[in-house]
Amino acid sequence: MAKHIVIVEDDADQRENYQVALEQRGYQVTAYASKESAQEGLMQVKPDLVILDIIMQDNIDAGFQLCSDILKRFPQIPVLFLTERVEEIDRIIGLRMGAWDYQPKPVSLGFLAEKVATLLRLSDIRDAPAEVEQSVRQVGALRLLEESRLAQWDGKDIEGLTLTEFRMLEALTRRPGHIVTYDVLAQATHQHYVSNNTISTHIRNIKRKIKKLDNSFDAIKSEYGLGYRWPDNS
Amino acid sequence: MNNSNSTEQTKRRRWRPSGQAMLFLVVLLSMPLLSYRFLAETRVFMIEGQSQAQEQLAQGVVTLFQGREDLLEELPYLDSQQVVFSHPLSHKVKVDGYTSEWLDFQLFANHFGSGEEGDEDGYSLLLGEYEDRIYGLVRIQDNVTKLREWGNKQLDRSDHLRLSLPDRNGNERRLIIVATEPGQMEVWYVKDDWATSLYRNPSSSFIIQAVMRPLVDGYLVEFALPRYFLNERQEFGLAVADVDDDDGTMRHLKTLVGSDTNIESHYNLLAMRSPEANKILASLDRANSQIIIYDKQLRVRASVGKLATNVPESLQPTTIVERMQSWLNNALDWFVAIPTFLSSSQEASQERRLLNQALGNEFASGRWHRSANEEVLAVAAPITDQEGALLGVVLIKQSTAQILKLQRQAMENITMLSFATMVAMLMVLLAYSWRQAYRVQRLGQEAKEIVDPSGRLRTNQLHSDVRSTDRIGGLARSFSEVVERLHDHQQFISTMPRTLRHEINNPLNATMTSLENLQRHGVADDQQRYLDIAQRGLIKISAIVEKLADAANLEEALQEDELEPMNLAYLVETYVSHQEGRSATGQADVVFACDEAQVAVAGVDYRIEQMLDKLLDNARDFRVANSSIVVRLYQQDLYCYLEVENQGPHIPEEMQGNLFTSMVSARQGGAGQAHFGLGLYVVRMIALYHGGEVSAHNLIDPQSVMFRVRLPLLLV
Repeated sequence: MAKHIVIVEDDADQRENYQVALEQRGYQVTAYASKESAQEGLMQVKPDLVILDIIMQDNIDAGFQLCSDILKRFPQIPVLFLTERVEEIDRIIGLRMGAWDYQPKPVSLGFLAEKVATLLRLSDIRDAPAEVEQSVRQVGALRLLEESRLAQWDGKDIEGLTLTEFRMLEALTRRPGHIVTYDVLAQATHQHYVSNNTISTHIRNIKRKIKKLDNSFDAIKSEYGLGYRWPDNS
Repeated sequence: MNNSNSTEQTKRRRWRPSGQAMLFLVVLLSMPLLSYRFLAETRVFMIEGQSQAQEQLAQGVVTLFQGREDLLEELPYLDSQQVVFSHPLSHKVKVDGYTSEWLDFQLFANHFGSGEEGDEDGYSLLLGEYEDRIYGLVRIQDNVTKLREWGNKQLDRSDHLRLSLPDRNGNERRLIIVATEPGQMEVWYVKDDWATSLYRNPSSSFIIQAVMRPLVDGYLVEFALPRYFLNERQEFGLAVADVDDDDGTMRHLKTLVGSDTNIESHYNLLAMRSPEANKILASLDRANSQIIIYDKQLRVRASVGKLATNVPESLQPTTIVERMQSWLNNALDWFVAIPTFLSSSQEASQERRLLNQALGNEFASGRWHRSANEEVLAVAAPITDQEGALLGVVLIKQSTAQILKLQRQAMENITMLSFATMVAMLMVLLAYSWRQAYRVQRLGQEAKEIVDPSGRLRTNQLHSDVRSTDRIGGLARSFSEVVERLHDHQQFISTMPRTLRHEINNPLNATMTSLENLQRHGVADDQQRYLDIAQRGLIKISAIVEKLADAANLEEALQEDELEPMNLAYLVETYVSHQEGRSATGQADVVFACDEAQVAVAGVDYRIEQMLDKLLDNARDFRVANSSIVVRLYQQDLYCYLEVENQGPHIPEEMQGNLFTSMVSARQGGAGQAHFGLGLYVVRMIALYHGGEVSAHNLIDPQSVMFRVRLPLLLV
């Protein structure tokens, strides 16, 4: 049975493009143009995943309000913000509200579809973890659970790691000791254009999150002017 | 033209406060000046009034004495006795044997003896009175002066003066004044024989004083005795005894010359002021005025009142107030006092001139300054008998000291009041000025503080003085409005990139996703190329929007970063080593020059990396083709310097001021990468965040440009 995805986006063109792209990939898509219509529609049905814009019509926080309503009713539903609000604070607010990921516009439909698939797979794993065979990669103290997109440091879950950050960690640790360039890391963000600075900001956030578990963490080395490197012995 | 206008306006503005202050000062100073003028006019008016009153008084006195020959023509008690006139003295006489106090009366001396001045055995006598004492000056002509010998009890064996003073009961007191040596003389009460002493007036007593001074042709005796020694008739007798031993015998009385030249111990009369005339004048007594009645011989017959002697206060000021008063007095003296005044002899001469005029039957008046602070008004009028024959003269002298004293007191009061007012007003003015200056300074300080080091407004309004209703308040409000508008504009500018990103991202996303869907549906091969171009264009737009938003958010994003100790030398060395590009000539793209292995700074590594990105991007854009970029790092004092130098055209002078400002670029427009002049702005923001600064320098030989970032060293 096709997964049911709800898209809430006030811009008709984008809404249609998302819907077409996802439907072509076999999903059942219901699209709403406003917060109110989405709230009404979601009273009737429980979707498998919700994609929310944040600014809708004149309400600049419509997406946040809708996310809050949805998660009150269906706490387990993966919510993905797909928005033009790309400031760090908006990202933090969205994730703290319980959204599973935060994707800035413009987005590649291919990346969007991949992200949707990932989130649905994660949702499935979390619903029935025993049925999924986890692909685990251990790099020193770092343990990456590929299927559930979870990362652990010294056996403890790294809290609040976004999908983008997990992808970056994954890219960094693929060949320990080798430099991972900014270009490679940019691909992990699933955005058309990413500046080195945005990548560095993601890396800084990853470091902070791991340092909450281990203050002596120093496994991500800067290769200034080129990229980052996960040391061979970490 | 405009410049000159604005310069003039600036001058006017600059002078306006001074002009106001000058006007204020002039008004303040004019107050005491006008008061002084008023007082001076009042003084003139009062003195004129006083002068007229004095003239009327003189007329009145003349009327009183008109036809009173009994008072003026003939002296009282005249019978066979000779009258010796006692002149009123203007001040106390020092009994010292000198004649300085008597100079004005020399002409009135009575001569006795042979009757001719200069003859042997004669003498002249001048008598005067001051307050309750009678003074006498006797000049004796004597070829040989015989002084009293010690131990000789006979008092008549030496030259001496005999003084007969009948008391009020008719008993006669006889005194001998004799000298043992020049100087103080002895005064003896003697028996009727004029030789045997009864007792001696103690020399320490000042009741009777006598001093002898030898002269070439004789000697001079000056004496003083109390007025109460005289009886009612004011009788006295004075004889000069000349004792010689020139005939070889014992000393003996050679001649005895009395003031009554004929009869020994016959009393003379001391003609003093006429009691009758004095009684008449007594009712006219006024403070600081003197009325003198002279007879035809200009002998004073009656007088009343006196002019106060103006004794300057010589007390040294001790307290600050006294010292201030003393300074004030001196200043007033300079301001008010009349610089020239007459000496006592000049004053006497003036009086004499008036008296002579009056003797000529003329009414005369005069005015002179006795001292710096006192003017004397004098009037002399003739007194005549019924037929118009001259009987005497009345002289009225009046001092303006009282008026001047009042004027001076008023001046002092006005000066003190004006000074106090000026001080009070100056204090008020000073406080007001200080307050205004403080307000302006506070406003300036606030205006300075609303701009952060990067030149952006921190707030949208001023708080100082905006509620005040005066001009500074108006200025503050105007300035606050300007700040508010600037702030709004700054807000607009700073949020514009984000707004732009918000607004562009939606259509951009719609377009990009549409292209993706289009591609997914399949396009002809010849159309795919255009699809790719459209997608590349959209990605460029996306990059532009992203860069703009990044730059706009940079300051906010920097606040998220934490400074950590780091080795800048390692960072830069690593960074440069990763710049792999090489020029066609085989030269290194970027050359790193650093002698230090360790340059410790507190920094955010990826921000410094971002800064290096921007500096190298800039250097690459402007360098001479195939030339290397030099990155230099060194320490000096408490700073390290990171320099990025490229050969290439100089930065135009007009750009140097705002090179590090957002949206300023020296690049020429082209079809390549879009440039918004954000790179160097990012460099400056990062340098500032690290407590440093950035500067640009044009170098010569070879022509190059160098950007220098100065960062503080981390001191451990």
